[in-house]
This record gives sequence, structure tokens and C-alpha cells, in this order.
Amino acid sequence: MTGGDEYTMQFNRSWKDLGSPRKLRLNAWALLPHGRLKLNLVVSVSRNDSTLYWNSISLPGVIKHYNQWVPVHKLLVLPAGLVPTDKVTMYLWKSGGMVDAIYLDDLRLDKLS
Amino acid sequence: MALTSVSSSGPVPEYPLGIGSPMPVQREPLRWTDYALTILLHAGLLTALYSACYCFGLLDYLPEQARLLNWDGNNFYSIAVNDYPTDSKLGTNAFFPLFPYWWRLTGLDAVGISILNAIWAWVGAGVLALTFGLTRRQLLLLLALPSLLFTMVPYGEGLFFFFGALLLRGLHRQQVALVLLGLAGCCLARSAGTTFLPAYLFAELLTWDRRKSFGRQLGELLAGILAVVAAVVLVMWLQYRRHGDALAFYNVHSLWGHKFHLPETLLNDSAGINVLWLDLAALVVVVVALVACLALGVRWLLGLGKAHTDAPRLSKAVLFSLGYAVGAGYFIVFYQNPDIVGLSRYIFASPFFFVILAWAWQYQQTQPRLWLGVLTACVLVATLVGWPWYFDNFMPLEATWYFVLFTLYCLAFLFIGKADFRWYRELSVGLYGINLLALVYMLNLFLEGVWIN
Repeated sequence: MTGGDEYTMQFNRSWKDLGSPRKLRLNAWALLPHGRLKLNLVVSVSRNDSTLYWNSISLPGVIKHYNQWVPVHKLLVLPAGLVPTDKVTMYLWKSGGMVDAIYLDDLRLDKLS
Repeated sequence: MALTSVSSSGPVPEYPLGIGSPMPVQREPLRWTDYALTILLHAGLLTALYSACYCFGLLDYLPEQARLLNWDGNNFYSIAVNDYPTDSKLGTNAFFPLFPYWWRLTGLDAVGISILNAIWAWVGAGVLALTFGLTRRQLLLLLALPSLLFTMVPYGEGLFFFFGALLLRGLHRQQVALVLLGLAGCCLARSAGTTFLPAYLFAELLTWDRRKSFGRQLGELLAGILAVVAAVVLVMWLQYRRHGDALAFYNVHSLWGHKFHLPETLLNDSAGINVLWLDLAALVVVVVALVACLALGVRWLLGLGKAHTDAPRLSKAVLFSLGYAVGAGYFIVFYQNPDIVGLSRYIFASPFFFVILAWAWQYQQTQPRLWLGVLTACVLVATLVGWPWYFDNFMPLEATWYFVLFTLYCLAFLFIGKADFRWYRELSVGLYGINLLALVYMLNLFLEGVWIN
């Protein structure tokens, strides 16, 4: 992700492709240049145009070591009543702060249950 | 001296906490010069630690003009230089006028006004120490609270602290003029009116004395309310003459999303893990204050129909401080949720926590298991942010370790006030050191421009 981008490209999978999970663990490695930014790693679930679930982890909130790769993880509990075609989306959202490159690697959603 | 009501016409209270004091009682009451020297010692230690850490490369920034104007500092500077904006939608309208107008009057730069702000707060702390008979050790501990960094930058907190201290002294000594001055000063320095009014009513009602003149007490009560209302109306007028919207400061909060809604998710902190612990510690204070207010309120209600007894009542200053803490917590939890950033600024960068802690130190002489209540509050707030399973970026064991440290930190404040705790001297020195380090670290974050509220 570079300077002017507000969003990264999105990673989309159907809920069924992820194994119809109820609990997920979001895992990633991130490299931030500093903490002067507002940056969230977002996971959402949508059906047609409506968002059924939205959750995020603030990367500057949990990463306090800069210019080095740091692991990030978060436990997510999806709502009941999802259907196989519901779309699970993952992306980075930068809502403010300094213009700098941000790196993200090994982005994974692991099914826990 | 017990934290019970003191009349200005009665005998001057003894300054040490008195019989049942958590600390060894001083042979003689401390004088204002003792407190002044203690504050100077703290200022010297703070300056020495910051400059040493900067010299060793542990801190990166010095408090320079441009860096001190970070975050709200820039808004205050804008009001000081240009007055309120002509656009009622701008965020600058959320800031209250006493500090920026005072800044304009002094003609100082950001560094100068920051030093002056710190002096206001330190003088306020001295007033509190003198009023409530704190020991030097207790005063040092309170001066090093990390959130007091907001009284050392170009924010309204320095003046708020000073006027808050006058208010508390007035409430404790029942000096109406000081109460009115404190109420008006605080409500001109910060958007505190909506928190102050319920707290003031709570304090006045629970100390209502049926032996005294009804008219006089009602007059004092109404005068206090009038002081708050007059301050808020003055702010409204100052903004109205600029852009025609008297409610601009309120509307800006709405634009920021500060509207009432019940928490639906776990609480979090937009400032991140290195500020979360302070905001959670403030939430612990809020929980304890809420329980105390409920207990005192119920006791007052049950006693309404009974004959008056001469039992000593709690000081108005304590009641007001408890009410203020509950009000501040209510605003953050219900108007800003799930983000609790800023709660530590409301609680610890105010004189009201000083009084709550002084009360707690004394209260645990009769209720030695107060620490169990604080422990319970710590577990509760940990749960509210997702411990043990849903605490962001922490595995359950890591989260547990985090909250064990957090709980020990909170409990340490109580245990330095326990007369039967042998290590209270060592503990208070350690706590002072930890807080001082956290204070310079937070100040460095602020100067770097990192969001800490």
C-alpha cells in the first residue's frame, strides 16, 4: 500500500469457500514506518449490497515496533444466519495520517470453528 | 483530617489525614512551603529525566514550538490568534475560550504557555495538598500521573486543573466564593458544564443540612448552578457573534459522532495499546466512583424520612469528585463508544482524581478490603475490552499477563495508603518512578504527533 491509497485491493471469498466458519482468526505480518497514521485491517461479510458484519484491527494501535515485520492477529466471531454465498472481504483501510508505504504479508483467515 | 464537611467558620482542620491516617502522621502540619518544595523537586526530576533520556537517544523530540502545536494545541492557537472561526461547522468550535484568550493576553509562544500551564496545574496540586493534608509522598505520586502531560502542553487542562482545585477547596471548606469561581473557571476552560451540574447537585443534596437555613442553602445551590450556566452562556455568545450558531460547540461534537448509543461491541482505544492501560485505569476509577455514588445515593434516600443525626458526612469535594468521575465515564462510554480514548485525560488530568484517591486512602482504614472492590473493577474492565480471548493481538495468556500487570498497577495506588503495609515507602517510590517514566514517554509521543488523544 503506498502513499495516496485509502484502500488496498480486496480479498474476497464466499463464506462457504472458507469452510462456513463461525469463529475465525485473522493473521498477518505487517511493516509500518511509524505510528502516525490511522490504518485498519478490515474483515467484513456482505450479502448483495448490505453489510452483515464489519470488524477491524487498528494496526498502529497494536504495532509499536516500526520498520520491522510484526505479527498481527485478531479473533473474529461471525454472526449466525450466514448463507454459503455471503461474501467475506478483507482489506486495508487507511483513514488518515502520514503518506508512507505500508507493507502487509501472509494475510490469512484461519477457521477455528 | 477526615474528609468530612468543614465549615469556613469553624476551626481550621488539621492538615494530616488524622486519626486512622494511612501514613504516619506528621509531627507538624505541612506548610505551603513544604508543598512548594515538593513540587519544585518533581519539576526538577521531570526535567532531568526528560533531558537525560533525550541525551541518551531514548526520546526523540524536545518540546519545541511546532511540536507543541500538535492535535488540539493547533486549535487553541488558532482561537488565540484569530478568535473563533466564522464557520460554525469547524472543529475549532468544540474548544472553550478561557485558555486561548488567556494565551492571547500573555503573548507567549507555545513553549512559554506550556510552562505556564504546568505551573497552573502544579499550583492547583499544591492547593489540593494543603486543603486535604496530603503527605509529600502522596503529592509526588499524584504529580507524576502520566495523563498530567496534558497540563504541560498548550491545552486547556492547566487552567481547568487550577480552577478545579479552587472549586474543591471551596467545596471542602464551604467557601461559596471559591466554589463559584472554580465552577465558572472550569466551565470556561473546558466543556464541563454537563458533567458538573449533576455532580454539583449530587454533592449539595447529599450534604443538605436540615439544621441550617433552608434559604441560605438553596441560595448557594442556585448560585452554583447559575455560575455554570453563565459560563456556558458566555461561551455560546462568544461563538454566536462569530458565526450565528450559539450551539456550535455542541453540534461539532455531534459531527464527530458523539451521540448517545449503547455499547454494542467490546470497548477499544483508538490510541492503541500504549495508552489503553491508562484509559482502562480511568475506567476502574469510574466503576469505583459509580458504586460509591450508588451506595451513598441509596443511603441518602433511605435516610430522607429519618431524624437528623450528627454523624459526620462526607466532604462535598469528595461527593463532587465522585459525581464528576461518573459523569465523565458516562460521556465516554455512552457517547464515544466503543472508543474509550480520552477517559484518562478526563479523570487523571483533573484535580478530582486527587480527591478520590485521598478519600480512598482514608476510606480503607474502615473498609480494609476496598482493594477487593478495585480488583473486581479491574477484572470487569478487562472483560469489557475482550480479555482473555478477544483482546486484539494478544493470545489469552499474553492478555492475562497484560492485565495482571495492569491490576497490580491499579492496586499499588491503594497499597501505598495502607498503614499496615510494610513496603508502602518502597512501593510509592517505585510507582512514582514508573509514572514519571510513562509521563515522559507519553509527552514524547505527543511531541512526535502520535495520537494519544
